[in-house]
Amino acid sequence: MTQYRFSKDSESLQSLATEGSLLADGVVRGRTTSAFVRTHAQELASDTEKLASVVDSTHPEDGLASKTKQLASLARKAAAQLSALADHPSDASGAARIRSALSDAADAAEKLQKSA
Amino acid sequence: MTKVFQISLGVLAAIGGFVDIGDIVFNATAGATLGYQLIWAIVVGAVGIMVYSEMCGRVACVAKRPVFDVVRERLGYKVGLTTLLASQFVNAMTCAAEVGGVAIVLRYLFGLPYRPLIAVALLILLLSVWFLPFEWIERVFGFGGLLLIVFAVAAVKLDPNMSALEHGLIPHIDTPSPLIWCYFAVGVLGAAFMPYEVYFYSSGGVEDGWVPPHDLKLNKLTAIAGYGLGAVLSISIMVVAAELFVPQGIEPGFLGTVALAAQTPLGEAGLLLALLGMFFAISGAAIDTSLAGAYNMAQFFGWEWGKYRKPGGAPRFTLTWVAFFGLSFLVVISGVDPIFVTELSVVFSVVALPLTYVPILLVAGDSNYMGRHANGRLASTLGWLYLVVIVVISLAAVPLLVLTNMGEG
Repeated sequence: MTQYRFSKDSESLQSLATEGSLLADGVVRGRTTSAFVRTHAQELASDTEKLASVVDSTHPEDGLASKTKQLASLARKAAAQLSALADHPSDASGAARIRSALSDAADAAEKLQKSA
Repeated sequence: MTKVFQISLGVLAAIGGFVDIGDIVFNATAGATLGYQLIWAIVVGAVGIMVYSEMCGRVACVAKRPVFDVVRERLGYKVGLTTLLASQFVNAMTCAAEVGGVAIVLRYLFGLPYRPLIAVALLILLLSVWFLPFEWIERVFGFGGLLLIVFAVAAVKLDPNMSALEHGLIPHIDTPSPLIWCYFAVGVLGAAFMPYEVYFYSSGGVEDGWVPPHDLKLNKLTAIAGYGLGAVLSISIMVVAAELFVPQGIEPGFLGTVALAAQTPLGEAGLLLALLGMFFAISGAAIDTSLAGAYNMAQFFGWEWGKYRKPGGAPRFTLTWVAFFGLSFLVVISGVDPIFVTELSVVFSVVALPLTYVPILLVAGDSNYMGRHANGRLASTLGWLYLVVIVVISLAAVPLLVLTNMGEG
């Protein structure tokens, strides 16, 4: 894991988590369909899981070990939230919690990216 | 109303070039990466494809010669065959991506598993082309694709930055990565010139039975209105991506991300209209590419061709478009990502562009073929100017693909 790769992967996680949060927001406001939320949340969860596996399997450069672990853990948590959204695509109160968790994950990924 | 229906050939051909699965995601990614910086590329590409479609429609109308007929005669058998192989490869890749795209949209609409929906998509496409007359294929899928106009409504609702939008009409680089800018510029321009658009358009002119002089005006109107609408849809997608995704740092990687951009300002109605528009546009592009593949083969080898004939009246032509759909099904069911395939096909198609467009330019300017309908000064000047653009993008496409890691930096 190089500085550049770490920065790119953090950016990807921020993008996936923000998009997930936007999707959950649609559920909270009743402005979407369950079929769309289920399908798109599964796509986002799958990409986020892949990202977590890739980050987990890399050998970090000096000074990046702890941040890489944090990024992988953050990605796994975001993937779990996205899977939960896919499993309950019409649960507005659950979606509100997921929206907030994914928004926090996106902020944390952004901070990690800036710290690299 | 009749006049509106008459331009449906241009609308369907343009939808294939401007808002197929790859373009939808590519334009959104360009908007999310570079904001409004590449609006000019859509406009330049649209004017270029209008110029060349008008030319090949005119040749089809006056000389009754669709593009591949002309390619074989002007380039000779060997170079013609190379052009045929290159374009059929791109047609097949694109058709596969579109079939996968139709299944993805059905999944967003109904929430069913992806693989069975690939079979459903294939069935819808096969039955549509088999049973619908050519003019109804144009109308259903061309005008259905115009539901994507919902992105223009979404763009207005998002209250875009008009001065940035106007500035986007002038080429300028405002990014620390000029190579990424070049990659997206070449991709947006290349997508406008996808060769299957002119194969489909010129053969469609013959299918629609265009005759001079009346249909020469219709050809001009069809090219300008059809591709003009395609460009408006493309620009709208770029604008919503710039407004919504740039501030939030979202990198669109799915069709669903783009649909989300219609849902955010317009709610469930916006989402459903965007998904239905994508269904018709991507299905239309799948039909464009499969028929273009069959037209090319039939015209190159001198077979009977045309949707106006019953399937048994042009058996090899019919078998070819069915084979295109069948091959697409096999490619997509193997698990290949349709969006990745179509983005690659846009870049590889630009390599074959000069071989398609040079013969059109030469024949449209030849008064032995075209008589008094040969290219005038304006068409000729624009044609040569755009040929330079086509050659430049065809030379730059692959190096940029490699240097920018497909735009990911």
